[in-house]
Amino acid sequence: MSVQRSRSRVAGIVGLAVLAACLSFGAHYRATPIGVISFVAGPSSPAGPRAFVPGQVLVKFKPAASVPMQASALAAFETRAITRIPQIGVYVVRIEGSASVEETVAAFRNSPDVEYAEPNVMCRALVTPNDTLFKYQYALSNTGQVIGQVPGSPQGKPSADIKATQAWEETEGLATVVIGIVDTGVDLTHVDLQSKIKAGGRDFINGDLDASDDNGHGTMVAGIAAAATDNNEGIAGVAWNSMILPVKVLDATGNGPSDTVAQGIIWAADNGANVINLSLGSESPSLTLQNAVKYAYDKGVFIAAAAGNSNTAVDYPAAYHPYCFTVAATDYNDLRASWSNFGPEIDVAAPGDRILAPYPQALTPLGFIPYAYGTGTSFSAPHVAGLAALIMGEKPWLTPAEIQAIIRYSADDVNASTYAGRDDFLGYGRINMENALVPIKIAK
Amino acid sequence: MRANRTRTALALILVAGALIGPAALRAQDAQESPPPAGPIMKLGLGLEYFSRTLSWDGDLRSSTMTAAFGVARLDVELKKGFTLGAYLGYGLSNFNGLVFRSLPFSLDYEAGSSGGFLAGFEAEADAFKVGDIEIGVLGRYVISLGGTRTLAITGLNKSGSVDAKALWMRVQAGPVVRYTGYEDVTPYIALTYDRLWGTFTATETVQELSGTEDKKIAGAGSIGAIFGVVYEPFANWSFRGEVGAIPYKKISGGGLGFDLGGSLKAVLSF
Repeated sequence: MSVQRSRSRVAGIVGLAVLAACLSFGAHYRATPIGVISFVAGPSSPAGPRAFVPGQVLVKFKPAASVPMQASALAAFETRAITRIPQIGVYVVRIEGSASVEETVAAFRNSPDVEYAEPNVMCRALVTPNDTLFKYQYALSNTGQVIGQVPGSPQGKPSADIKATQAWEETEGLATVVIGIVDTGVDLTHVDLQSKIKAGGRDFINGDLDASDDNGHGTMVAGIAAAATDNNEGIAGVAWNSMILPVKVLDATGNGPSDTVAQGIIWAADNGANVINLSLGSESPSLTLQNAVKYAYDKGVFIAAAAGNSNTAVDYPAAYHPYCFTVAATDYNDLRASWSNFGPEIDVAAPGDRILAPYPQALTPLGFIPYAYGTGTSFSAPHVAGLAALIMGEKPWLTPAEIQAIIRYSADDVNASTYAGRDDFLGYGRINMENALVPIKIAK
Repeated sequence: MRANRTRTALALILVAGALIGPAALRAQDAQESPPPAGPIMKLGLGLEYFSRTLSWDGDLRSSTMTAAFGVARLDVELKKGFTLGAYLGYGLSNFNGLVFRSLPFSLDYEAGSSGGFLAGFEAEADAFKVGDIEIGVLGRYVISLGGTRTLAITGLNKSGSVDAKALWMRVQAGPVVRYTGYEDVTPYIALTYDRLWGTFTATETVQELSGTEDKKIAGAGSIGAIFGVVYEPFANWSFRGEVGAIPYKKISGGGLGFDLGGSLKAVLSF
């Protein structure tokens, strides 16, 4: 990985891998694992966020220092007061000369008229994880950042996100809550996932207990739901502390027969999964799959399922209500993704356009770090799975139906101007983790 | 902040003593009237306020409750030095800061005061007297039966509501020492076991979701001190003022805090 990172310093985004959005699995089954994946270049600069505001210093003079003395000192150090905080008598000072912040602070500190001088330190919102790529995760915290590293990448609308940072003030989840990723497997050694894997899982494609990912889709899904977070590495997962149970039911091409998918769902339910993510589907119904999701639901498992990516009716098994909780996709502007499937089964929406996620190291091209941007409802569903895991950790007595209701009613009706209330495109709206988890203030 | 409040309360007592003192000295010159035979009935009105730091969720969290109430009271002095009293009234209790996390949607109660009826019982008995010092015991019990208050839950895409109801009780009991050297004024001090406990019930309904959480609440401190004065300017009238303080250990940050309270009563004897 270090080789890849070193090479990536000189590389921009040049790789674009397009996987088929609709690949068939089984005789009449079509998975919709992903739309587009683009890989992530390593950081162009090793420097992190600035520790302080460049060219600025905070200065407080001693009470005995008269205003003319203060003005004289500011001029002597080639600085100019931008503003003053009168309540505490602190000047925000701009450096006019060529001296650095450190040099200017030192000069002020040597002045007998100065009580203290310090850099204008940058503060950050609480419970913002230190994951190096978190700043690209508009879905969790949309500050209006550029989405992607390719020149011309779009910019998000501030606050068009699922309010993750606010919700993490309330809970970061429990390790006792397990999210079953029934998919193409998971990169079990990925730096952002290896500490989160509950067990090796189960591989129903190759018939063994090694659910490693040979496609990439499942790794991305797992990371969105529950990547290792606040670990100075990669991305943040929705459910910081929840564990991942990898279950491989789709092969390297993203295909798998319905009986295999059904077995994977049942195995996950029988082996400790509290939440199951199904970022797969087909336009053809399958009673076997319906029975499998019913089996898991009846065991108290919450199932988040992707609606599909073809701007048509909701795929199966997502359409199997009430067992599956059906998730459509929004983008970085809180708008419906044009390709997101629709119908009466849609419960909610979550960001699914250009979602950054871990990618298997073995499948990552040279020059790139093992992360990729993905587009599709496949990447919307794990946001919901992560939220369900957080709710379950906080309130383990709730049934899947109650968790579904909480996520529905706490959603933001982001398309209310055209479809007020629940609609068939975004359901109850884009999920809002803060509304779902943080105590609601009851005022007069 | 609390230390300031404590200093303020002590200062008020001293000021009250300074104002009342001269009148008391003058009253010493007056002739004592013989005590009436049989029980003495007393009717009165009272006002009381107190704040109380509550601990809840297994003493992991705390918030401050305040209560203010007015009562009509009946006291019966069965014999000299032994009085039983009862009162009924209406009060406002404020439980802001309670957080309910066992409901489908967690709630942070910040809805201010809720009204409710309350009832109380009191007993005071003198045990013995040494010179001008009387030593006795007092016991007090009050129960507040808060009414149910329905409040809207906002911020969701479906309407919801919560029914909130608080029931609390308070017991105070302990020795009391009175100074009877003044004719019209009797200052006293009491050291009390002071316990407040109760239940705040929140019932949430949001569409098909519903849940009820009973929050067991208890005062953070249990030993308090009361400083009071009884002033009897006329034969059948008495006024009584009290301030009290209960120290408690702060849950967060450590250190001691003080919960303060006070009451005023006006009583007509017949």
